[in-house]
Amino acid sequence: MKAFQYAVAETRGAALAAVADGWVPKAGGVDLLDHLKERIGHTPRIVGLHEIGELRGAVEEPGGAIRIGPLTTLRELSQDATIRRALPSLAEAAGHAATPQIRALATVGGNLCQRPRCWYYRQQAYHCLKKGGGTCYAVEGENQFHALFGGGPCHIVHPSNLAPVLVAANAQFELTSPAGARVVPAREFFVLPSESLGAENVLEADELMTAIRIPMAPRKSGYVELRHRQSFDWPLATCAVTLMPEGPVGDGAQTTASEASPEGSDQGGWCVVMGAVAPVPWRSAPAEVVLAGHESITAELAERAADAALEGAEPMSQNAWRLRLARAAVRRALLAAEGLEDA
Amino acid sequence: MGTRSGAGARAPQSVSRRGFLKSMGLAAGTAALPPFVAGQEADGAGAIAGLRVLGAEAQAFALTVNGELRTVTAAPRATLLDVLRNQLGLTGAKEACDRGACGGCTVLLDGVAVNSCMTLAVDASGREVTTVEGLAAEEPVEGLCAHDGAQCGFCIPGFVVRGRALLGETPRPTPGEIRAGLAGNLCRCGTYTKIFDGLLAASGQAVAETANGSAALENEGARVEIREKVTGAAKYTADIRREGMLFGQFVRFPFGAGRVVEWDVEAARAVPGVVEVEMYEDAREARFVGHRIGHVIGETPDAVEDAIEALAVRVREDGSRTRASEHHEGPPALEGDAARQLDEALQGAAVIVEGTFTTEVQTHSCLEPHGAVVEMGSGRAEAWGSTQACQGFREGLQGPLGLEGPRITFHCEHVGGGFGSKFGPGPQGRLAAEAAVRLGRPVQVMNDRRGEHLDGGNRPGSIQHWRMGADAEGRIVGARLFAANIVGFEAGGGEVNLCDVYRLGPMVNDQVEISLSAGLPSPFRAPGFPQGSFALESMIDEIAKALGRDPLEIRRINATSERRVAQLDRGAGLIGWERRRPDGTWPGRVKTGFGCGQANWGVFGDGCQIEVQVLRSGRVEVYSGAQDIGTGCRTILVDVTADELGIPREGIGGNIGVSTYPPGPASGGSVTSRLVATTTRDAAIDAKRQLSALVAAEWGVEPERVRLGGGLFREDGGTRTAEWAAACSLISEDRLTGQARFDRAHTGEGDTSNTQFAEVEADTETGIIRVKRMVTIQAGGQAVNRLTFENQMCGGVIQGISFALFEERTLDGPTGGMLNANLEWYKIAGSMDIPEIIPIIDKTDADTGVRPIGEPTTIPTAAAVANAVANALGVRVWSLPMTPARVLAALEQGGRA
Repeated sequence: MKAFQYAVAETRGAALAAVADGWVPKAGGVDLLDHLKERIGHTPRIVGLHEIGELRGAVEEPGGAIRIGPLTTLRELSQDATIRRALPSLAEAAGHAATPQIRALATVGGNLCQRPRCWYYRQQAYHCLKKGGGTCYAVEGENQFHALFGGGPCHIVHPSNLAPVLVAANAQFELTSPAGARVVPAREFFVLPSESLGAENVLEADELMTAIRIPMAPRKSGYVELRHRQSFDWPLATCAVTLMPEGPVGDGAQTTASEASPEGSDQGGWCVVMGAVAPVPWRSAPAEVVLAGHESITAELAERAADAALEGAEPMSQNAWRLRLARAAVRRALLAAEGLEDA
Repeated sequence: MGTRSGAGARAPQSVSRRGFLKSMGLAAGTAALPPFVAGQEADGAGAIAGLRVLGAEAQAFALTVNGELRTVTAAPRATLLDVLRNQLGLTGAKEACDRGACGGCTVLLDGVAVNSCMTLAVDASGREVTTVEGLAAEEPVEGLCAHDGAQCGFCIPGFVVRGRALLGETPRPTPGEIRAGLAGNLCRCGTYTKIFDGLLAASGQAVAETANGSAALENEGARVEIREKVTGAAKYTADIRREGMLFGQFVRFPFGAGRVVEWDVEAARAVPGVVEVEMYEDAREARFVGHRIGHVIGETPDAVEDAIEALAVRVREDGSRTRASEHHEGPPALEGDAARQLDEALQGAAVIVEGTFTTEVQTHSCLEPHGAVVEMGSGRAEAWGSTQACQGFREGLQGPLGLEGPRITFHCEHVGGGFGSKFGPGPQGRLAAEAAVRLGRPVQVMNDRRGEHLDGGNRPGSIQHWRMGADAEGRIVGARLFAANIVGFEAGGGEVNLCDVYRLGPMVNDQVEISLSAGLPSPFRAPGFPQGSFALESMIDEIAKALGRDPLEIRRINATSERRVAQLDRGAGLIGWERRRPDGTWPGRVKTGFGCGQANWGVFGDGCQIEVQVLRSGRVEVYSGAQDIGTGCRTILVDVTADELGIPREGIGGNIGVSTYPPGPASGGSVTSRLVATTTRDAAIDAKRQLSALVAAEWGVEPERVRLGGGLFREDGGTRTAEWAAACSLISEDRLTGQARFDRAHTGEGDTSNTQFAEVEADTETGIIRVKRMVTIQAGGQAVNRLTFENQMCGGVIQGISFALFEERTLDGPTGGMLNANLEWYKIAGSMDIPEIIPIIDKTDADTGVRPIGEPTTIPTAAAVANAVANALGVRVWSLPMTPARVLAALEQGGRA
């Protein structure tokens, strides 16, 4: 493993000061150690956050919002009673990620901020766009696991399986620097390579994610992850759906396509977010348009929404087959949210 | 929380795909970073309240390991795994993938199972670390010991630690919970079935009995070294630590082919802890991905890696051959006699079916990498090698060491998987030997995981064009195979092989090779056969489909052995073949299908010597210089001797894997069990004869009148008896030694037939295949040990499932880099991919000799799974592995080849 200067932050304040001073934060360390072992990236100074107890655990705030400390491990998240009740799809996503051993190390914050698993990015020999090079090797190379939506000039897929669930649940991320905290909606946290090549999110170099907040529990939620290998494997496609409260929903309510905003509504209703298909958690406005105005999912509605979810796809030379999986993930997640058995 | 590395901060540079310089070292072509930052002061250290700055240098700190407070000295970058293995001598936790993907390094941290390879040792300070060595008195140790939960055993300590945590979380786990709970542990031998059994037993639950109650000589006991493997006490070559030992590693070319342009040896030599850096001028023109272009030897693995980075090797990729289809022209037109013969044969055909099959390159992925440790003494050397051929390995060290064989004491008491790829010392063993001579210190050279995938051998891929005709009754009248075998940068090693299980009539079989810029093939468990079986068995099913017949009928009509016809009938009953529906007609999106495949194996091999030493105490020690690649060689020594002498196996020691023992065979071609068992029985008979002579002399009778049975000597026609121990006390010297050399005439009767049935679920919406149940029926003559036999059968099936569904070396088309040279993207079957497996030992009264099973038991698995998938889908998937991409493509194309 590549050498580095190491420090341990004993308090939240120390961590913030260290990060602002250029120390690279290490939570569970899984993704960071991968980088150090592959000798990619530049991380001469690393600050361990594992002693900061106040950034760990999930609590229900007065008013019903849920606040999750970013140092909560995936294992803890998957077993947390509050999460399992209020947002079972998040517990499920956390409980299926990676392996039992990795889930015991990896944290929520690390899962959201991990770098892409692109097999060119992860090899030192490929000096790709994301590493400051001039080429996305996936374009002419082996792109079966690369982006179906939103790719270019870099074609990664976002590796976090919690992120689509949190986007669907309209979570908010608290990002803190010594200058203070700001709250960024999960829906605005992740950015496409066309906007930012070097980073997958808006976290500034002097900031630390200090909380994940879910203001309102969804009325319904579903999560489906499709993998080639059932044991540890990166998903081929995932989908998280929610029915958010306070939306324009109601039995028999008719919503036309023109009423739904192209970016999707933040006010309520169904939210459909696909994972492992785009450089960011990919919210599907066309699928949400199909679902708008419907309180309940039917098998037929799920089919139509799943078809719509593929609109705008830009498959690469070797990955169009994954559209079928993306479609299946959307359809099944909607059925799961409704508690319907698949036919 | 961001792990924002600085790569994006560097200035973009223009790099086109081909022909330009590509950087291999991080520093090349970028802002020069010091490769090694230890010794620099941390900027701003001490300025931040509450920030405990540890720096980068090695420092002493306390670790509580297995309840003991230990002081270690390590740099912050040292992983917990590194410190446990290299400082505390706790080598039960293994380094196999080094990326948290295999679980071999699992330890408990405050009672929670984590990957110690992904944990910094300093972060574990102040917490309770428990390794497998600390769990010897806890479950699931006893459960795994009772149920033979190990083959090669390399991965097993990780399973034990994770199993301990699982039982803590879920005291009575269901089979599904066991699978999910072990989803972070990989086993390459495919021991999962017995591990699951062990965990069920450890949690006080009943383990389903197999139908093999008394099929073997030993029907209760597990392999004799099971406890060493389960508790982590077993030492593999990777675990050997010698005083002053150095570590070596090769520098490898990262792309398919091209030129090594420049490097900086001085910078590499300046790295602290580096002892030797050498770049190979004769490897300037690199020919394959992973080509060894130099090596580094240093005090620690980290120092070696630092030096490789400091070399800042610059390479030019050029002319990589990466995609077999671009170099394949299809079958040539047949001419002359061959064409005429085939035409004549096929004239009688009622149906002719054709198809093109492909199989991908599969790497052996042994969890213990290839490697060796060599230590020079005065005119002598001691060496350890991870090998399936102790004798060949030692012979291969003679040249580099400049020593005759007897001057080299060689050890391989445990080997972490071989599967055909570990015979001679290879580049690792040669480098270790040469460096040990040059440097005068012990040297260990083990491949890293990447090197293992690139340069540790592989099963070549294949493109197979088949044509086959059958008459109206289903008799096959003729066949044509043209195979292009996908091999490495040099010719050789590629062949599709076919079991002689069906009468195929006249057959034209032509094969060629396609070279890619990649590592060379090496034999892989039944070399050439699984790929041939996949295509042949698929063709049999296509014939059945064309004739509207049951695929089992076609197999019966063309069978070359009644034994396999009987296996078909038995297996059909066990899998529930009557539930099979016509192709593609199972209702719903997820469709169930059933399929079958068959195999057999040859009986060959020679050369084996065994000693059975009977000590005055009554203890018996059996010696063979052979090795155990996980099949249970020690157990054969013990159980055959116990059977012959009629004494309990607990009183017998099995000793293997040391060059001072009588020479044993290389473990290739599934020969070891037959050679060792046959010879052990003869050596035990020799010992018995000598002991009987002592008893006869004591009694004053002719030796012929002394009989041994059930551990008791009796006088034939008299009343005198002597217990085993009493007889042994007659030995005047320390011991007597029974000896034997392999005698072909003593190998008895037996059969090697295997028949397998698969039940699968195929998801037509996603293309995801899950194998639900497998039946495997294996003849093997006289089985020696029931549990090891079943374990190996299940392992064969599991490797076959992995080949059928998951394994595929991925080369980058434009540059030839291997993109999945790890255990994250190179997928081998894990616990959640393992179906219920029903292993049947097919033993008749006529079976008296020990027969090979290692290879036949893995050959037809992929074929059976492929046929089951074709039955479920109603279309055939003509390529392995049957990934979602290939399954969906087959559905779209309607199954046309």
